[in-house]
Amino acid sequence: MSDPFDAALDLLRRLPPSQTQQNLASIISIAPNLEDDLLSSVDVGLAVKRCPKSGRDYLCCDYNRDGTSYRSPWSNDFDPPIDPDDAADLVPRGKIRRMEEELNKSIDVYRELYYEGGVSSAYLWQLDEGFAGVVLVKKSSGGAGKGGWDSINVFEIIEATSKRSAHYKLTSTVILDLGLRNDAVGGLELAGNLTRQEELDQPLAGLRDAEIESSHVANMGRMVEAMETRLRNLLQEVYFGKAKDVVGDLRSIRLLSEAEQERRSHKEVISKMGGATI
Amino acid sequence: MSSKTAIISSFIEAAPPGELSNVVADIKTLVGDDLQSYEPAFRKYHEEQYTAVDVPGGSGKVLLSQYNSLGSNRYFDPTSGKSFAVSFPSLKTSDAESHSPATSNLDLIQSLQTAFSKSTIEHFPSSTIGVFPTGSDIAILIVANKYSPQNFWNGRWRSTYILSDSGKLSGTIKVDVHYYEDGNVRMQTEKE
Repeated sequence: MSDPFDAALDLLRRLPPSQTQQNLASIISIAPNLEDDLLSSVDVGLAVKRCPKSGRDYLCCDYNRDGTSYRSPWSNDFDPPIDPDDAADLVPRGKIRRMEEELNKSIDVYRELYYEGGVSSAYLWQLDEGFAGVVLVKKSSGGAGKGGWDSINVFEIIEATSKRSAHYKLTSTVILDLGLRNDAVGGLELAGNLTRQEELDQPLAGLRDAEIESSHVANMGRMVEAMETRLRNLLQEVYFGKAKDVVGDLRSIRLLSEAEQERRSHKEVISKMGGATI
Repeated sequence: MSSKTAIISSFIEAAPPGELSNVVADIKTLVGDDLQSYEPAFRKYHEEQYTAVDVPGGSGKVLLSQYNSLGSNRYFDPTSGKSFAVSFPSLKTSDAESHSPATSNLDLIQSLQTAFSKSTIEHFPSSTIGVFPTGSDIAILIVANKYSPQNFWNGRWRSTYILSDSGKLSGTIKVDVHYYEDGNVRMQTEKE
């Protein structure tokens, strides 16, 4: 009998990804003891909230959540406000907050360049050894052809004792939802998520704290850019290429007997070439 | 929040092609229930997905669908002239009886079945056909499955055509593809 948590994860991998949010809520309602573990390990579409202080939108995930409150990366406050004692533990300060602010600024530029719209947010937190963070980007578009892109890039960073380089581990997930409804195609729903990982050692320039912090931000930004580009191309290949291949295997466009005939004559030619002396 | 039965039934009905047993195993681990209580969900799944079962005492396969359902888990096969019982979720067939469907188109149905079985070989590497009467019309069903779980993908093509009394043919094609290597990608299309 396998572990219920693994069963829940497996189930979510098989059910339609366009309904992951509802399915997750359903599974939690029938197995409430798995709630915390599932919420922190399953990637769902990101929710957008408006920061009351700065007027900017930000993205909500498990990493900036406390109960039902979320922390805005622009104002660094929880909305709705939380208990000051909890806030003391959860709100980042000093080095982590400085890096977080810089990271949000650079990802904002990155987002505008690649997405021309959408919302982005980044959150960092201290670990016992090193620190961790998440970079989130969300973009949706509507109309007859609707789509939604949610990318979740989770980092784990450990600085080398020499402080000349650091080890970066990145796990990125892109959730892509596409829908099209028109007369030519009928109804098409293509949704899913892909996850890839990358581990890299990158140098840290400078000796002063501020320079090292900037290096981290630049390194993280570069990794996110490379990974998202890779995922974007992979999505195209997998979503469209693979789906097309499978449909082709289910029902061929050309007559199968013709294809078989061609294969046989091809084989004949090859074997004849093999027999000939050069 | 829906009841547990409604939730589990919806999971069963949404299972991707070729992965019903995996979904069922996961459900069992999560709730440990006796799956017999979800019989209606299994029946709906198999009828909608045109699952093919062996005709007891016969030599072929027949599709399960709403068009050849006699109620009380009995289905009929016009080609062999039999009706039989199916038990869910095991899909075991039994209790074959001779059965003549109440339709005047029996000859047409049987010849369509033979003709389609021959011609679909040209395009479908592996498929099952079902031709059944529905009211005064005829339903022609084609289902083609390709499972490749070792490569993390599965697909199913379902064609449903209705040939009306007046000779008009209309239908829908539904394709369902699931790819799940390091992720979960599902494509579901419907075309009339």
